[in-house]
Amino acid sequence: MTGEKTVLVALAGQPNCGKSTVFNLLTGARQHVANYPGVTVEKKTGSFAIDDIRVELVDLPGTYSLTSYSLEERVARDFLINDMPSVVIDVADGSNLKRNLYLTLQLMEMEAPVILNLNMMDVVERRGQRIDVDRLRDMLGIPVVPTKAKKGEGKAALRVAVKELAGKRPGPAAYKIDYGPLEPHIDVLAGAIAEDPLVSVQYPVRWIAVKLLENDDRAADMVKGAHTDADQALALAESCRLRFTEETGNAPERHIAFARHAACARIAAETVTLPAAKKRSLSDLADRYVCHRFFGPLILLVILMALYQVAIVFGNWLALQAWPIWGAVEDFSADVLPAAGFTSDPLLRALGLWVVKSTTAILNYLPIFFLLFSLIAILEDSGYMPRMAFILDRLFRRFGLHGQSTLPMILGGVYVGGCAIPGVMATKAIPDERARLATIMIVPMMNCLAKVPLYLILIGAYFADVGGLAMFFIATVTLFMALPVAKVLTLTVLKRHPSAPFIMEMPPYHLPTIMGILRRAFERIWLFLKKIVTVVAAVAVVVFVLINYPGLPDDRRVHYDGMENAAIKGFMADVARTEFVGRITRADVLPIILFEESLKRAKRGVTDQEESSAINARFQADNPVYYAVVKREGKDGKKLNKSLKKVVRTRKKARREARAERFEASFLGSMGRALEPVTQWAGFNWRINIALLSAFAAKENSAATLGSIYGLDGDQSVQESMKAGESGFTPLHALALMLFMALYPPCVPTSIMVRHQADSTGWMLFSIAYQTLLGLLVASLVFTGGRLLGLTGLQAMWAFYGLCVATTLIMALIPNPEEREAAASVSPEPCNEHCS
Amino acid sequence: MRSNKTLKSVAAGENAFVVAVAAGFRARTRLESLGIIPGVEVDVLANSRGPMLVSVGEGRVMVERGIAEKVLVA
Ligand SMILES: Nc1nc2c(ncn2[C@@H]2O[C@H](COP(=O)(O)OP(=O)(O)OP(=O)(O)O)[C@@H](O)[C@H]2O)c(=O)[nH]1
Ligand SMILES: [Mg+2]
Repeated sequence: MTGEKTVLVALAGQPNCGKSTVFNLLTGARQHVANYPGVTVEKKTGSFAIDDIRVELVDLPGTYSLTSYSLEERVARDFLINDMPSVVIDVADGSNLKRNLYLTLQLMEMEAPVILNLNMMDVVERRGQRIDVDRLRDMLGIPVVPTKAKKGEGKAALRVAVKELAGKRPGPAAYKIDYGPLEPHIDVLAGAIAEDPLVSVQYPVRWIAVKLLENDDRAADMVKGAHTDADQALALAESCRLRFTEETGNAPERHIAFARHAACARIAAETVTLPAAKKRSLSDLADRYVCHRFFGPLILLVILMALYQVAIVFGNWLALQAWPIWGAVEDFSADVLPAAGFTSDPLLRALGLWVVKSTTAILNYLPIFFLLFSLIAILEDSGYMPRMAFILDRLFRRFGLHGQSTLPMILGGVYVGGCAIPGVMATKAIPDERARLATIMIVPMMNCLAKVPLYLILIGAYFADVGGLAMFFIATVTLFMALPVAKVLTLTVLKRHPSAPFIMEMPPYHLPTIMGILRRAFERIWLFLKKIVTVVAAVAVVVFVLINYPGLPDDRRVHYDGMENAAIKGFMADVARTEFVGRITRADVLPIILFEESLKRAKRGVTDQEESSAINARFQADNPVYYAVVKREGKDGKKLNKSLKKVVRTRKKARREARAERFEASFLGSMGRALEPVTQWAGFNWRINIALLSAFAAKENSAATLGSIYGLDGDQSVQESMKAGESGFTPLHALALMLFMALYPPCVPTSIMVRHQADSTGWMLFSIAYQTLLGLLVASLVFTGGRLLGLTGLQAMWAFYGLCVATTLIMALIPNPEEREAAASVSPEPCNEHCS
Repeated sequence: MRSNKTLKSVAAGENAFVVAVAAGFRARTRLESLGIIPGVEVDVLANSRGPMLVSVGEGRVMVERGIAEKVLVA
């Protein structure tokens, strides 16, 4: 034994009091912190050392109380009961001590070894309050440690307190809440329970007695699980409850809540000095405007627009500036991977480039994500998010959503350019089960960044003259599709799910710090990189296999070999007529082509004359013969270069055709073909189907796959080669495809997140299925309907827009399930009886 | 005499004394733990058409109108 011992320490406290900040302060971890109640929803573990003691620290979700009615309260309470931590650090917001004591007293009642951590002491000071820490310590009989966790103050004192308490034997709490007239009943019940050897060892007796009187069903379960004669104890509790109600005319649970509040008020009155003049705080002053019925929505709109401008418009520009970096990564891998073949490449190269391209396609959005994460960190830290929930609650309610659905929808891309993954993740904070599921179901319908490349291709190819309008259409129509869908889901599949009333704390504003924001943004980018890039790379491999195998049949391979041989033969005949005869053999043809390509790659983006000559010199030294051909040196060089160009053209053609054939014959291609009978109503042929199938992995694949199908080797842009490759395509086809993309089922990483957040595979499958069906339905409606009515793409666009807006308005007028119940149960007489 | 005045009818800028909370079980425990219990004084900070914003002691709480209607005040 080295004498090292491990102690379990829990962090408990009310929401938003800074538990996670204290957790990070003690362990050096990076738990998610935000000025928004209910951020931590699962318990998180970390560890640190005090001298020779190892401390396992658990960050519990914030709870205002310790009843068993809400999930987070159960999680916290079960942990305290079952895992019996050696120390419980009760983090309390010092500036709101009275309310925070409500939890402290309950923790003490459980006879947990509590340290009261008065956090946010900087706020206490700023508001001119004073807390008599010594008096508080004496009254409660537990250690009290003031901290300013955000500023890193108080760490040492907390560590000392933990070490001291961890070494002590737990004793009964010094402070007991006086329950007045209920006390005799508590004594009777506690006496009966204490006689049972099992329960009295496992649980604090007085606490169990109070809980039973409070009619807490989890406490009843505990007694049932441990008591030798549980029924008798429960019957006794029930008779005590009845008797108390008769005696006082008050339900015991209410009396208990009152007694606790009264105790808190008494302690706070003796220890907290509020400033004499009760002046309105700056927070309240700001809220007069921020939460105002006219200015509030206006300010919200301005903030959302600024968010869009900075993250999307400016971010896009930044992404463009950063592209050369990712381009260089692609070039680098093209250089180091095994050399290319004539028509087909070695597997390692083909697969390697495929994976690299899929990954860089997402890395490309990194600047946008960084800006988005920073801006959201500012919103989170400042405390504006709860205000947003406040303002939008009313509108969203009409569609079965919740004020707190705002953030997930913004992250998902309400306008253009979000990502469904953080969006779905953010639904966690929504307490209303039904609204939460509805939000999870519609977030993937927002316009995530990855859908944008396809929009851009299609708009560029088929709506070039009205590009701005078309972009506005697709950016806003999604909301008018998502809101009715949320409403329909609420009225149907989600009808039976419980909905919770909107009661939420509104925390005061905090001034965000630049360091804090940057740190947060980098942390999230890092997480994003780790999770998403690995998933994307893995999925890319799967798609690669599905789209390339079983591969070309032998006769086709012979056909392409023939093309290759003929081209090389032609070139060699030309070589024979030049001075290069003998110096260039058949085996040199492909290397010359690759030499030219790598010279092109080396010079990409190089504008400096000197640098360019240096590169030339390097290549010349490398192979003067190849260089002469590629750079058209001398009469013969020029001649051969011309001949080489022909070979290059043949090679490109062979590669393009072979690839198209390979794709068509592939597993994914057969699927695309098999789907044609259904998708023809939406105007999609098998090539489009392949692109859409590959988009399931990650949506940017749709554009990438279209690009490879129509020939990425060409110098034309994707939209031009698509237009050339699909002569029968009209703007109506393009519109149907865009709408399908908008409603496209969540991509694989998002689906995984949906499954995680909805906690069911069923919901994940549902979300995939309904979006696919809805997408097909809408695309078919627009395409087939538009064709029957003889509408142009533009006319169909606005006809559909009108339809969506009208549906949204109608949906807003249909009452929600509980409104119906309320309307049905309204009695002519206002309630007078049971409103105690 | 019981009063029939509810929190919902208190205008912004006014204050009220909570007499009873006649909401459902979940809502009531939630309000209780946030400090909205009979016997406390609340300041109404906002009361237009969305949720209400009330101030209890040092805390600020948003309360849906449907629930505010069930909080009896004097
Ligand atoms: N002024 C000040 N702010 C603090 C202090 N400690 C934490 N905060 C801020 O308070 C907010 C809430 O902090 P969190 O650590 O997320 O709180 P939490 O208790 O984990 O919250 P939940 O997980 O939602 O229950 C954040 O904006 C913190 O930056 C402090 O000592 N002083
Ligand atoms: Mg937390």
